[in-house]
Amino acid sequence: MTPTTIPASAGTRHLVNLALVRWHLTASAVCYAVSLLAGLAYAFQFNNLYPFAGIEFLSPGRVRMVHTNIAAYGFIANAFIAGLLFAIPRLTKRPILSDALGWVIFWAWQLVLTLTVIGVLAGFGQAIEWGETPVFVDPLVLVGLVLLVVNMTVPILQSTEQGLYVSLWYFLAAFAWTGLVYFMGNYLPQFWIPGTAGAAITGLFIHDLVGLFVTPIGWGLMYFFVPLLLRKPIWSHALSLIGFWGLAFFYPMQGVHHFLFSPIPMYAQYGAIVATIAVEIVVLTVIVNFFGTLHGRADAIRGNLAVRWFFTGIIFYAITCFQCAFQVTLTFQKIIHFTDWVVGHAHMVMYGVFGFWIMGMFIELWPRCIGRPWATPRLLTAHYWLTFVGIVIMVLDLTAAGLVQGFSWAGLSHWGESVVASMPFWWVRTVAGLIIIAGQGLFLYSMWATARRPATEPGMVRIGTPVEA
Amino acid sequence: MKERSVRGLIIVGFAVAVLVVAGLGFAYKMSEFAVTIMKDEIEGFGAVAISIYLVGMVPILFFTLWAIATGRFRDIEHPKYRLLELDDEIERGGGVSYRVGATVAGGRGAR
Repeated sequence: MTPTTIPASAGTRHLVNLALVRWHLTASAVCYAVSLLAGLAYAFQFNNLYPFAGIEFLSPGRVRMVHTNIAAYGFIANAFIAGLLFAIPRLTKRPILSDALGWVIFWAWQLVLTLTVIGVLAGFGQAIEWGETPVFVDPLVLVGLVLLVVNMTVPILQSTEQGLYVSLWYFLAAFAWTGLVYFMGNYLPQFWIPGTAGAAITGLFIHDLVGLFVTPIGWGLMYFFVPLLLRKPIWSHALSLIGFWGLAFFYPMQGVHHFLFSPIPMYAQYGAIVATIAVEIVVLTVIVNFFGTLHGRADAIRGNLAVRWFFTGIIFYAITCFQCAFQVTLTFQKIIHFTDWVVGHAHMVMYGVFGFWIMGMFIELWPRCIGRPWATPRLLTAHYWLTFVGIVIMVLDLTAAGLVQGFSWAGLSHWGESVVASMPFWWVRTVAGLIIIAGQGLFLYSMWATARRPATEPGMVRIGTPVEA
Repeated sequence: MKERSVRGLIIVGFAVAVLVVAGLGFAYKMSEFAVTIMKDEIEGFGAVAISIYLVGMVPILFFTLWAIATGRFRDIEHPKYRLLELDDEIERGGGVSYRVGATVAGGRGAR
């Protein structure tokens, strides 16, 4: 047992189970490395340098699914669970329902991830974007989600606090939606509603997974950590709740815009386009609140690395949402559909926004969980800059590549010509990926070096607050 | 005082804008999805989209009603101050020597 928590005395429990938080963070970091390496291998495929050529088990299509699934369900989900395990008890003054159940969920979730990787590589991936988790894994995912919701919702309902902070509202929304969305995407198209309708439902699933799982938990954790990092309340709690209600009521069922120019009736496509543009007003509430909170404390961007990650993430968020309002129009879609523009957009959202926020959370939580201050702050700064430069290059490169491909196809050029024209962009993408991976190497080393540090500094080991059980 | 009234105006403006802009956009979309049911086009899609939405909203409405019934909206701005108070209480009560925000200085101020 590492000396990270003081033992709870008889009849008490720690408010936050930091061992659980630490293990979820560790699992998240491992998945992060796996996902990045899978992404790099897939990028090499576009440079005719695929390292596993001829090995069916590691064919590029399957490795790509490992990249996306382990990023979403391994890196992001594990980090989010760590954040929830830390934030919910501190917002409610109640521990999670059961620590034992928390451990069951932890191991069940890692089993899900392991089976997903094995299943996908063995050729059992479902033909559903973001839903490639094999059919035999899906029931375990749903059971895990239900247990997670129960474990996390009970302290919220038991809380005797006068108000409910906005983060808890967002968490509740995610708890309400995630299992339902997962069921919709992984079961309905495969077993009950095939064909065009099934494809349209997978569109809903793809976007709702981002909008009703990643977004509310990401926003909730951002609203939790940023005010604490700045030691300043958010600009307006009322505005944050308006954003919450906007998301809860008007964000669901957005994804038909992923299937524009498809056999889905055009009037339904128009409805999806209008609703997507309209919902950007909800996003604006979050951006306004973030900058209102930061107002007067901009020095923290330079002086506090965690704040800098959150700040950069919100900048990317503003860019990506602005971009989204345009790219869902048919005018843009005529050019960018099926091109690398979309890949660039996806990386900016999932990595540039939520990945960056998770990094900010890591910076704050990892030292707390292991009871030692960061051993290598300068490496962490280098990690930030390498990641930032890498993702900026990657997004600009893929956006430009998408335009080249789109206009090439619109001009009815030969398909091969667009491939030749894309080759330089794919090299730049690989280099950007290598820059990012170099940064993450520093980060993982920093985590390891910090964990190996002797926990001798007074007070640093006394983490975890006993409360009456 | 002036700052508070400006803030109030911005909040009301956003409340109206979210309700009108996002609300109407959403209503338009869902009505078009409903039309697919009436026209019997892409069978199953509209019914799934609407029913999943309605089912998903049940717990959201439950939590909302529960929050109203337990008086959690009485002071709408209170929770944002309470977040910091709670953090102080927990840090003091747990004998933790540092608090959120004090863990790492980065960049130029790295230590």
